[in-house]
Order: sequence, then structure tokens, then C-alpha cells
Amino acid sequence: MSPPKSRKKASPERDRPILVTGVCGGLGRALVRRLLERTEHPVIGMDKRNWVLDMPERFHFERVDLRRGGTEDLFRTRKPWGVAHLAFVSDQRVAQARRHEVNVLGAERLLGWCKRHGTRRVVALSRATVYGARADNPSLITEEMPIKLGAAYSALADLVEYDHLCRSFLWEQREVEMKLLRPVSVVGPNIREGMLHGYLDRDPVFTALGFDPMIQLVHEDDVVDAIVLGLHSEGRGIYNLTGPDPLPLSVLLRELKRRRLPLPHPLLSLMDRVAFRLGVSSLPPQAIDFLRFNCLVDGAKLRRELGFAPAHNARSILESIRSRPAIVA
Amino acid sequence: MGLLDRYDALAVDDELRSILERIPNKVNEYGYDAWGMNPETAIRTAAATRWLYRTWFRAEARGIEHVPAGRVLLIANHGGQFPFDGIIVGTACLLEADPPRVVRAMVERWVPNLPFVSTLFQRLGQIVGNRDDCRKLLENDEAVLVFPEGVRGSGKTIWKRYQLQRFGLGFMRLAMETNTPIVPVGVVGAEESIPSVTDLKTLARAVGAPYLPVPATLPLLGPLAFAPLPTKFILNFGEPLHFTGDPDATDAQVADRVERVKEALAALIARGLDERTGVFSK
Repeated sequence: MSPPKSRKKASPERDRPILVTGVCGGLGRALVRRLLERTEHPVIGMDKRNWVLDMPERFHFERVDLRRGGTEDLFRTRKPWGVAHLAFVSDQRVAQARRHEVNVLGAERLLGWCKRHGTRRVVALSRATVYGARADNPSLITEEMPIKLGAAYSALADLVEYDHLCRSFLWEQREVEMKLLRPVSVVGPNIREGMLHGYLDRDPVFTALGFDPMIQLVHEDDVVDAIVLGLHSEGRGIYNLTGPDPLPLSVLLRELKRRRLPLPHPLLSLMDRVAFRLGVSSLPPQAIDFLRFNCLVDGAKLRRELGFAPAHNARSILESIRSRPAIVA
Repeated sequence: MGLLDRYDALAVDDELRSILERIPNKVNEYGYDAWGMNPETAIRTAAATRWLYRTWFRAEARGIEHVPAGRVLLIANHGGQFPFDGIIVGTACLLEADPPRVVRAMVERWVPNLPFVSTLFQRLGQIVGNRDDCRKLLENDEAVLVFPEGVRGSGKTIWKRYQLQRFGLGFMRLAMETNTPIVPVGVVGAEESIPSVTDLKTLARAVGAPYLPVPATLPLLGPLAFAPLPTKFILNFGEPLHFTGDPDATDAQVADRVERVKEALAALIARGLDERTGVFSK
């Protein structure tokens, strides 16, 4: 391998690219479009899946796997100015060992390269589910609340570990300005991942008898906006990312025209244990708590500090997913 | 016609409908606020609590005009094992205050575990939370009801009725921090509603309850003894008290201010006891 060329003066900041990991997901594709519209930076997309859309100008796609060698060379040669880290396997049916490898070890390597190769800004996506749904949760969870998920939800351990890893990096690395976003359930026409999706896509839907938790949704466009905002603002921090005020699960299901089948929650978790094992349910049994307790987060900090303002209200969010057909069980 | 429509036709009359229209809380396009409160549920529940308020307890609310339209901390005495004092203060503020107020109270942390109850409480605007949550409610100009005696108050035996127990300091710091007026509410009637002769502390601890009352009427009524007696309720709402200063003042400095609230509250309770002709009077 040839020694790295030193071209410090020749490349002004805006010629250095922004790298988007997990770019083939719904969010990644939308983010590329937005970045090309809003910034002058070239954009590099990276994913282990293949890019099937056409290639816009200033966009370059690399089919690489975060877990394999060769990825670091992208950093050596292109010296990304910013990184939007979206690569995260959230499908709970994927084996835990593999999720750990991508979500935790992959992120660790990526952040190491950011530091070593002079990346200026990083926006990493975590999830608000990291706080967990618990009976004793505060009514509106702020970013300072310690993450308690660990012991209770071994199924989501990789998310907790990932979030923790990002937090440590965020405060320890002074050269890289990093923001960690914790969005609530992301929905939209292009999103097909996440716990809530598999759940809401079914008809009829099982609920926990006597419980009606409040659910927060945010539209994919607003998440993309927040990521761009994060890349364009100075400083570091952890931000909850929320859309409009929450809705009760019952209202959500009514609006999506789903039939409800309430079951006592012990029975529900028993059934889900079997269904999850069989791959029919996307909700890990421990996550049944999300059908009982609130996990409501306070998104005020992002609005206050970075001026974020979601464009979609509850009605337009529901509109965007209502058209999708339900999987009739 | 659904079950709910039938209930509405039966129980929600013109008085309640007009109150619903005047509730000032901001809700989203589906009728819920950021904490999951739904004014329609509050009104439906008021149809039942109004019966408790008017018929069973024959409650009278005096000085309710002291409840302002904006943010306010209602500070009341606590007693009677079950929180009928909270229900009656809340009902008074919804039925008789202008504008009608949906009173928010902080509930115990185990409440969300209870099916149906947890959902109902949330729709009624009751929240589980810490001081941050309470601060956000006040910043949203809500009326928040606090019993500074906590379980020290609600678990009181009949021998200690209307003797104010030690007050927590948290509410005062919040009032100073958010510039919220304090309206003391002397509640008379609740502390005799389930007269408990003793508190089985050891047994309570064993089952994880904060206290375990033994109602005086237990040998006579059996489990019915845990239903409230039809005591006469008199609520005295005092004039708003304003406190300023550093919310990070030392405990001793804050305790002085809390003492002033406690004195005002004790005077309101004494007035209510004077005004009442008998525990079960009309």
C-alpha cells in the first residue's frame, strides 16, 4: 500500500465528503437526497446491502461491511468531514451475537477511524427505547436519565451497549464533535424496520388488557432533518428526538383501522414467547412492557439548542403509514 | 350505539358538557395532552365523582375563587387512608372553579402496574414522576395538587386527625423556581372518612404497602369498613401565597417558608372544623 498522501492545503473543508453508514435503509436513502440538496459536500454511502437506485451526482457508493477489513481505507483515502452513523440491526429476530458484532463492535471501529482520520462531526442514531418502558419511569424522560434497561431487557442489550459506547466517545474525544440522537419510533413510507413496525403491520393486533400506553412517533423526514441539523451545528450532546405529542396506543390502532385483541399481559407474554421463537412476532417477549408502560421522552432540548422543529403532525404521520397494507394473521 | 355513547347520554348532562367546553387545557388533534390527559375522560369521571361530592360527602368549597387561571400549587392536608381528599379537591376545581381546572396530582410509582387504573389515572391527568415532571407541568400553567405530608398523612390514625405531620420541602423549591403561587386548601371531612384505630406497620412492610389501616368499623362492617363514611366535607381555599428567592436556598431557609404555608393551612382547617356543625351534619 502506498503511503498516505498529504494534501492538507489542497482540500478545503467542503470538498471533504460526508459518509452515511447503513445508507441502503429508508432513512439512509432519504438522508443522501437531503444532504446533496442542502450541502456542498460530496456524499459517500456505505452498506453491505447493494444500492439499487440510480446514482446522483456527487454521490459515491461503497459496498462494504463494517465488520470486515477494507473499510478503514475509505477513511484513509477520502478523509470524511462528517459521518452519519445509521447502520444498526434492529430486527430482534437476528441472532444476538450478530447484532452485537454489527451494532457494538462495528460502531466502535467506525468511531475509532473517525478519530484517527480527522473526522470533524459525527451524528449517531440511537433509539429512545434505550430508556426502557418501566412502571416507575418519569412522565417525560430527559437525556440525563440513567439508562436502566440493561438487566431487564437482555434482548435489547446491544442497543444499550451501543448507546453507552457512543456516549463515552462523545465526551472523551475533544477533536470530534459528536451528537447522539435518540429518536422515538420512526415511521414513514420508506421505513420498514423497528419493533413498532412489525407490531403495527399486523391485523388483528394484540394488546395488554387494561393498559393503553402513550406512543410517540416521528416522521422519517423529520429525523433526516435532525441529522442534517446535527451535522451542521457545532458542539456535542445527546438529544431525544420527538415529533408531535404522543397518542394512546388505542387511538393509534383505531386510526390505522386495526382490530384489537386485548389479552391479560401474562398470557400475552407467554404467547409472544412462542410466536417470537417461531419468527411470527417481531416483538421480543421482554418488550411486552412497551405495551403496558410509557416510555415517553422529552424532546425539548433538541428544539431549544439546535432549533429543531418537526414538520409533521400526528395526522400526517398516521396518513403516511395508513396506506400500507396490514399483514392479516 | 356504543357503550360509551350510552354512558354519555345517561351521565353527562348540560352542566358537565358546558364545563368540558370551558376546560382551557391545550390538547392535540386527537384530544390528548403531552402527558396523556383527555378532558372527555375527566368529564365522564366527574359524572361519578360529582355524586360523591354533592350527595355522599355534601361537600362545600369556600374561597374557590382563589384558584387562579394559570399555574398554581394546591397544598392540602392528607388523611383518611384512601385519597378521597384528592378526589374531592379535584372535583371541586373541575365543577366550581372558573375556568374549570383539571387538577394534576403525582401518584405512587406502583400505580402504573395496575391494569385499567393506570390508564384511567393517566387520562385524568394524574402522573407518575419526579420533580422535573412537576416543574414541566407548572411551566405548562397546570394546577398541581400536592399533599406535603405524603403517606405520613394518608396513613394517619383517627387519634391524629387534622394534626399536620411533617411537610416535605420539595413543593416550596418548585414554587420558588417556577414562580408559582401556592393556594393552601384546608380539607375537613376526609380524615374521618375511614377512621383507622391503628396502623399495622410490620404487616404493611411485609406486604410492601406504605401503611395498613384497621378501620374502627371493621368488626361491624367487615370489608365494607374500607368504604368511606358519609362525613361532611368542607374545603377552604386560602388566598394565594407568593414566595420568591433562591430555589437552591438551604433546607433551613426553605423550611421557614414551608412553615408559613403550614400555618396558613392549619388556620384553614381550624376554620373548617368551626364551620362544621357535626362530623355527619347535612
